[in-house]
Amino acid sequence: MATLKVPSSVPPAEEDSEQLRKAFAGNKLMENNEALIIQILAHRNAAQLKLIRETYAATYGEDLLKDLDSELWSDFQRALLLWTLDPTERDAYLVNEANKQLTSSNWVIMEIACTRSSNDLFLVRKEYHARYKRSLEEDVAYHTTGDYRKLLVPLVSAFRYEGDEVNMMLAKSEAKILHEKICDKAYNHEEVIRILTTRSKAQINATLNQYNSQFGNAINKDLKSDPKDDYLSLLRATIKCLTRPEKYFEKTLRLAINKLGKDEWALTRVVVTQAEVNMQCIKEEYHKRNSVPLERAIAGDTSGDYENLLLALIGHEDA
Amino acid sequence: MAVSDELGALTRAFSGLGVDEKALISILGKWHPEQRQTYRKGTRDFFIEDERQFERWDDYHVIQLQHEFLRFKHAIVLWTMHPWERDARLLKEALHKGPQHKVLVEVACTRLSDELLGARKAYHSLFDQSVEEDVAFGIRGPERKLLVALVSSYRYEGTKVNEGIAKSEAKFLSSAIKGAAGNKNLLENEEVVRIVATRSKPHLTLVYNHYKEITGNYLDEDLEGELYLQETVQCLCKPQEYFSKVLDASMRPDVDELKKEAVTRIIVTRADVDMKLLKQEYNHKYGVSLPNKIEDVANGNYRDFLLTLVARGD
Repeated sequence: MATLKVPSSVPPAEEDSEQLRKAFAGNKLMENNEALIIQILAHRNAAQLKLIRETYAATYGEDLLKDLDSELWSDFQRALLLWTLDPTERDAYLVNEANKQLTSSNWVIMEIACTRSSNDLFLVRKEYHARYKRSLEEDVAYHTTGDYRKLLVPLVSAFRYEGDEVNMMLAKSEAKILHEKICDKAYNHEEVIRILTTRSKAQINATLNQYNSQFGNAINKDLKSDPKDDYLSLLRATIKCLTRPEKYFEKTLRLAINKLGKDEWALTRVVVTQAEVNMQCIKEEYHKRNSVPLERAIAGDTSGDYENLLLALIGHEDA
Repeated sequence: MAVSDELGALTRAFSGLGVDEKALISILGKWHPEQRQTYRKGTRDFFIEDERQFERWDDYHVIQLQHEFLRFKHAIVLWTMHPWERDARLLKEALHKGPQHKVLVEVACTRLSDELLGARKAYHSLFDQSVEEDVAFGIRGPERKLLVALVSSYRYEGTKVNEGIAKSEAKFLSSAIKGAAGNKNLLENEEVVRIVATRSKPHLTLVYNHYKEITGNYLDEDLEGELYLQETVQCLCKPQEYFSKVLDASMRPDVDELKKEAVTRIIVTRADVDMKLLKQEYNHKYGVSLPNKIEDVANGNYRDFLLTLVARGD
């Protein structure tokens, strides 16, 4: 469920647009205008944001996000920018950015590929064509190697069936296959990749339940043989994203807030991409796991406008 | 018509693709029992002498005849189908009927990106599974990775290409092919698969051209014998040539049923796409016009239907 809070009566896009123009005046974000920007943008949904952007462009002849590709050194600016992008554009932007980076980029690609719906992922691929004049999969393939490529290219190319039907016999036999390969430490085996990158989420869920029943351990426990192995971590995260995304996002947030992960933009990314999707669930998960509400954790880790924007997006009152 | 002429006409009515319904009606329809018996006794191909003294239809030929009678129906149904459903069913058949994995390459590589997406959506509806999970599960050989990648592709379709990268990828392919030197294991080469499975068609055309400049040879010819890679490159870079080849091979006498079905498949799926170019290519390659060839090898309603579709390119 979304945490985004939109006022019950939303001003017309022209009014929002005018206010934002004033706040952005002079191409620099003035100190006291950032609160106004948050007040507007952090309380509009994707459709409303789109309308505001269109109105702004029609009225002032420039894109609200004209600073899109410039150096964004402020967490606040980056979060604002990502938030104001249309979700499909945002995901395409994140994947493209990930392709250019060296570290933690694989995680972003995996996260987007596994937690979006089949249709949404395809919309991202379409948007990627329009924006970057190449296909998403060709860029991911070109910028990855070895086991990462073996896993990520099929993940971003998948168009998983989304029904609930499950074939129990198949689940049993594929659980066996997974167990076999894991025992052989063949974590990059074709069959492991095949099962995780092509089966529907419902089918994978059933397979992993079978794995647990037949072999006594949850699959991710068996995949913990080498805590330093980055590929194995990615594999475990893939499985989590496909079956329990809210748990994956909770952990990602936890590591980011405690500065334990290598993923410096994880906090921004998770809050912005999930605010309208699943943040309520993630908040509950976070509270359960950490005994402290997410709002408090974010407030403790961030400050200023960045903090205010994040808190607004996760539904914190009077932000 | 003299009897021998009638027999000749009847034989022709039953041979080739489809049946000549009019001839069958006008000849068989008026034959008395004795004439039909003469026909049975004289046509050893279709009828065998049963031990209890009667001429019996040969089972194998009845099945053959069934295919020929149904060829028109199959063409109509395929033609009327939504292209998404049609391609989804073709993909499914390619996996299970035969199997004919090359048809997977054909469908995946000759459709536009959004058409392939549509086929994948229809596949969900029709079969409650994704095409990639079926392909991955149903294929065990070294071609699995290539085929899964091909059906999963969503190639960029704009004209923007990167000359530098195309050159280096052409160079890479040239050394990879030399290195493989007839070992037929290019399918295991991840980079080769990456290039053919993810790059856009305009980009690959550039690669194809650079390859010719570098090596003096055509990329698809150098891939002769490489399972599926040759078809992949042909479908992506020279589809009309590919289709002409397959059509011609399917129209030869005495090919099996699966091969014959290619005629319907290709004509129906290309009629609205590039039939004009296909006809030109066919003529250029084989020295005979496609309509004339079809007149030769096909009969009746089936023939007339094919000719109507083929004429759409004019």
